[in-house]
Amino acid sequence: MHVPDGFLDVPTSLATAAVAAAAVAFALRGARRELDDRAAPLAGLVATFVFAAQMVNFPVGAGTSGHLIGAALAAVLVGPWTATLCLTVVLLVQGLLFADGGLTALGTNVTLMGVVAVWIGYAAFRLALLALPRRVGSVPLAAGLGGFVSVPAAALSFAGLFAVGGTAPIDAGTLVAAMASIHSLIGIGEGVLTALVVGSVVVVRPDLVHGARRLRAAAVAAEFGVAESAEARP
Amino acid sequence: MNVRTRVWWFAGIGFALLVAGVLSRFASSAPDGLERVATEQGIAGQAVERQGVLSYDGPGGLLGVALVLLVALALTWALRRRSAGATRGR
Repeated sequence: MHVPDGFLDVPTSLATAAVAAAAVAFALRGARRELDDRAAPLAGLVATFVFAAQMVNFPVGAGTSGHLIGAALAAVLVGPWTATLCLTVVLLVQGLLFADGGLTALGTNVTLMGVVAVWIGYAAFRLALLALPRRVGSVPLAAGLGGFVSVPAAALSFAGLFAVGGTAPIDAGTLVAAMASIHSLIGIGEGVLTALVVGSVVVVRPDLVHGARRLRAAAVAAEFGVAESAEARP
Repeated sequence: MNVRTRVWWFAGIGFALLVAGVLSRFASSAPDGLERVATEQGIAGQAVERQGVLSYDGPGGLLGVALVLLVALALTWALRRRSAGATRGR
């Protein structure tokens, strides 16, 4: 998914750089509300895991691979603002040191994976939680759905950007169809991995999972036989 | 962090190192979704290739893991809400 230099023209790259810079500026403010003494080390761990997992491409169909983006994963575990920062750190290290993703495309990659994938993935997660039973066990399932949705969302955003500022004249509809089909497959892998990782954290330390907060309060209330408190409602 | 959380946290870092150092050897080298689409649509030639300072193979990948950990921890630790009173021993 890492966009190289040369795919998007200069105005489009500048525009995505501006979007990325604004998103990071907002995230630096928003993350203060999500991070405390307990969440901050977890966020560092999440960024590290996302970087490591992105090194492991899994095969999808013949001659194609995909890797975890980790945007929905990070958003569910540490909150969406912090997730935007985690993905940005990962993309900076990849782009600056590993030539993974272009330099002029850094803003594009932060926009696609650190903003679109994070926030669409998180929105899908929250919506899925509303539809699922109010149990902590629903969190991995909803997270997996968020992960699945986040990949085609980022891929379609790239297709949209290329339609506006691509450096080669190709049919936008063809690109949209090609990007959507292959990234829906990769999205299945993303969804499964996201559900597995979130599930294994939720089992051991539900208290650390940002996306399980309200459910946790409800579960504790149920366990102690008290009526659900007002703060347990979404 | 209390002891239990600290153990859990180091286990997580160990798992990340395992993924980066061992699991990554079995990674598929096939082109990823975007590369595949770009090749099929004939836009792959537009990509400007660069040489990275580091490579994911071997120690480079683990160095990247350490670097992401340091930068992300420094950032999130600086941004966190300070709990009233103690900052340690919770």
